[in-house]
Amino acid sequence: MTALEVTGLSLQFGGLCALDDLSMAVEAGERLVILGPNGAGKTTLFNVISGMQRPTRGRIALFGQDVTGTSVARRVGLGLGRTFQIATLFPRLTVLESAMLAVQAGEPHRFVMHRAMGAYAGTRRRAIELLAAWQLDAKADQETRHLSYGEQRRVELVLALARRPRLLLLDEPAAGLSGEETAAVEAMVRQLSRDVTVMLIEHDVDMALRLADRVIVLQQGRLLASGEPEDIRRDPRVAEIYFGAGHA
Amino acid sequence: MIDGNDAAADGARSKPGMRLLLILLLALATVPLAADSYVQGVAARMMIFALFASSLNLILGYAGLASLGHAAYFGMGAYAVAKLSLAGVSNLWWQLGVACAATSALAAVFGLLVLRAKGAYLLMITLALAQVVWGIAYGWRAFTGADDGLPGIHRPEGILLWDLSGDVGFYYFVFAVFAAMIWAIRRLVDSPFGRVLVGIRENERRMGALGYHVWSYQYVACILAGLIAGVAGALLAWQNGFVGPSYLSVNYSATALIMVILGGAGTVLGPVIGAFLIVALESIVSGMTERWVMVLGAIYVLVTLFAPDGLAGVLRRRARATP
Ligand SMILES: Nc1ncnc2c1ncn2[C@@H]1O[C@H](COP(=O)(O)OP(=O)(O)OP(=O)(O)O)[C@@H](O)[C@H]1O
Ligand SMILES: [Mg+2]
Repeated sequence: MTALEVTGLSLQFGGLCALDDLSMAVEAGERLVILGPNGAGKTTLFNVISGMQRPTRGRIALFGQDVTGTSVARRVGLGLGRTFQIATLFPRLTVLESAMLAVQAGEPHRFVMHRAMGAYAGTRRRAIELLAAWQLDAKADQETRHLSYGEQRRVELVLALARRPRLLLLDEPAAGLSGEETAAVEAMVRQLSRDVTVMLIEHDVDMALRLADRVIVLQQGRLLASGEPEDIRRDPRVAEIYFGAGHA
Repeated sequence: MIDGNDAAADGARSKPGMRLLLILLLALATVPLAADSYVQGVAARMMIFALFASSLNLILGYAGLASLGHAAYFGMGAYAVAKLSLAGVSNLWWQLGVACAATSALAAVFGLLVLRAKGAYLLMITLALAQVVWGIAYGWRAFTGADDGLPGIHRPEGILLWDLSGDVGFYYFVFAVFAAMIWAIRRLVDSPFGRVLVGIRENERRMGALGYHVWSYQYVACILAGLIAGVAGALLAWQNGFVGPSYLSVNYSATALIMVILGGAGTVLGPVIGAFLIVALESIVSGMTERWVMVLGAIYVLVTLFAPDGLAGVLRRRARATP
């Protein structure tokens, strides 16, 4: 089954083509890594897939359903989850409260006005389980802004996982992390069930290639190359633009 | 064990906050027994403005939407009961019902217009819309009495044995409405809906990515805030027996804003305390209108410089320092 299919996707900012007639598909369960230099359009691709930006042209299908013009909420409902390149958290809420909001997003009582949120024991329990599963339960009562940067990146991932997405978009989850913290994030991605399709933008090429089933390389909004991790590593064009001349 | 029940930005669930609120209600309940009718009038005014400020706090403090036009709803509620009273409708529920319907309808329309804007644009557009309403009230002499306003408003008939025409009876009516609404707001901000508003204030983008329909929550919050402000306006119209364009003025909007910021946005008790202090101060400095605006300005500057999260924030830090 195809998790995601985009066809002829373009997005123009004024004269700039952030995405330029991009077509690609991702199989369910696949780990697809997206490489490309700064400004290649990787984040823009995620924004368009998740519905936060409208493409100028092209179509997007999630799990066989056309979602081109639909809201973010609808796509989340179909199983889309994402993280952001720049931490997008609730700085003044505790980690547990953040997790509860994330879990609650998929529950029917999310509009209730007359009962305390704390009264929904199931939401709370699931949030605690989620934090425990990713070794964040010790931080549950701390405000998110008081966590270390590495921990915050993990919270970012956990929030995206709360609704059990079937397609997960990870935008540089390990950017700015130490070696140890990067390993923790890599382990998290590795631990994800194969029911989850993962698209990963990552500048840490070694980590990216270790995780990838397949790699695509973007440049100036176009698909430059696509293939197995080893082919990509050997591709001279990729070496030229991405690893820097002389790397290969 | 894990106990995630307290987020920093919320006094809502804090025990000291609850205790303070109960003490406040107890004190307010005894005012007619202990004080003269002037003080009683000031206390009623305090509660009315506390409701007005609390309604603004719902969108400003919880949903993170600033507004410089909240007086539009306050004035709308006041004019609604004034027109009904002058037309001979003396039933309380009719008057209150129409006031609520009119203000929430106004909020429903304004909400559609303002929720596209952010930041400073939001302030400008809310101000502009409120000025339109003010302009209508100021200009349409036949309907609103223009700058003369609408004097001679009668308080509505009582409920069973509860007579609202006398000052004590009316005071307790204001007290009951105030207590009920503050209680409801407390419930609301703790509810899933209220926590989602806080989530949106903290990070709209993330809430969207989680699948929340951010706009709907903000829209409903706007309507609720408009409705509560309308009730406060109706109460003031009955209290004063008069409505004028000043009820709709940017002065009133800004005063509510300062009350919220002084007391502490995003807490249930903060705007109440802010309103009580400002109304008390106003009755001391009253008569000096020119200087009153200066006093408000000075308070605003001092609070933003020295207590950016308001008196509630100061109290919370105190409480934390001495556990
Ligand atoms: N909202 C916007 N308005 C105008 N230009 C934009 C906007 N968002 C992105 N761009 C431009 O589109 C291009 C692609 O940006 P994008 O953020 O997708 O790159 P990226 O591949 O994620 O880069 P990085 O590796 O630095 O994160 C860049 O040239 C960027 O400046
Ligand atoms: Mg990017």
